Amino acid sequence: MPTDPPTDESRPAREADPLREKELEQIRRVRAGEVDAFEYFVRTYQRKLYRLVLSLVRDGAEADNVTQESFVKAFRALPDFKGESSFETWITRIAINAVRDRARRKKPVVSFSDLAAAEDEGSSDVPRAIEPTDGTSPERDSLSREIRRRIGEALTALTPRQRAVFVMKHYEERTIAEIGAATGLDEGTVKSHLFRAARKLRQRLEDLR
Amino acid sequence: MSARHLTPDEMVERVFPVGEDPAPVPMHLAICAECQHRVARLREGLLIDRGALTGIVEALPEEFWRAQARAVMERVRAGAAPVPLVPFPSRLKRSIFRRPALAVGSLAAALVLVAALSILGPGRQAAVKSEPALARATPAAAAPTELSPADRADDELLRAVDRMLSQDVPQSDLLPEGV
Repeated sequence: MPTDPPTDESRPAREADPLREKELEQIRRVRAGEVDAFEYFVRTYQRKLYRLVLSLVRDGAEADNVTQESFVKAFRALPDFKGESSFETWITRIAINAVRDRARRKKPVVSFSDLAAAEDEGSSDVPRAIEPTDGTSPERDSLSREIRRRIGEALTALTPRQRAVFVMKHYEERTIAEIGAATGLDEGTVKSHLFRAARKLRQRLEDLR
Repeated sequence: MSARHLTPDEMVERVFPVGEDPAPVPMHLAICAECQHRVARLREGLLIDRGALTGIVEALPEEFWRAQARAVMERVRAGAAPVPLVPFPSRLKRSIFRRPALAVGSLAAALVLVAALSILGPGRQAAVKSEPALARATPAAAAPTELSPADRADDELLRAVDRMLSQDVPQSDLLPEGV
């Protein structure tokens, strides 16, 4: 199974980055009419993109749709891709915008509780989540699930942009600079969204003990 | 020992810091078991949620990824044409096929409209205005033979529909022509 590609920050300088060189070469091939060369990007980034989108929309089928849509949009827009950022940053931005557009068109997104309920029934299209429990007691497991459900619900209450920023920071462990590049926001605005998101979460999780 | 417990904001800041540098640990947190417990529960919730989402993605079979890549490439090769919008009449037709009750409902609404127009049409309005005169009229004045051609046509249409409904005909017969 292919592993996730390294992020921008973990790579060496642009000029000596073989991954970047390879991507630029693939882009040149696609632009020259070799459509199949685009599959390289799909196969390289589909897992990472799907995981990000799933964290945002919390629905397996919806995440699949948005992921596919993002790649198709990226293909269409490839002639305009200037290569100033990495392909990964660029496609991440496309996906975040796609999630936001869908959220505008279709409200509300499937709530996390719906996903959890579907998992419980074993009827979801998404394979059952691997629940990392410590196995010490059913009560503790149940409490962990409750906290998880509450966090999920709190996340769905955030605005799409706050959710994107928050998920990239705390789920994807991306840096503020990476988040800024992927969302098109300056670092101060990213921090502002993070602060607001955390405050909203705090309000929703206040009674957790 | 600082007696003040962490505020909710401080607790959230411990688990979801805005900045990238770790915030200094408040003295109170180092010594208060209750606050440690609350922070730990919140952090655990985040980690469990994050781990579960990662688990979902990692558990997806290779076939899922292949199918996803294939679907993307098919759309790309096909000129990445967006899903064509279904023209309105076809869409209506499809929805009526799927929900015959909708067709019956539409037909009933149309009939009510026709009936209302028949009752409140110009001729009828005049009749309503001259109600006293109508009261003085002989029974023969209201005989069907004196209906206007338009009223007669409406009357026949309503009777035909009544007959059709009373004969318990299949719903498909009620669909508009061409549906």
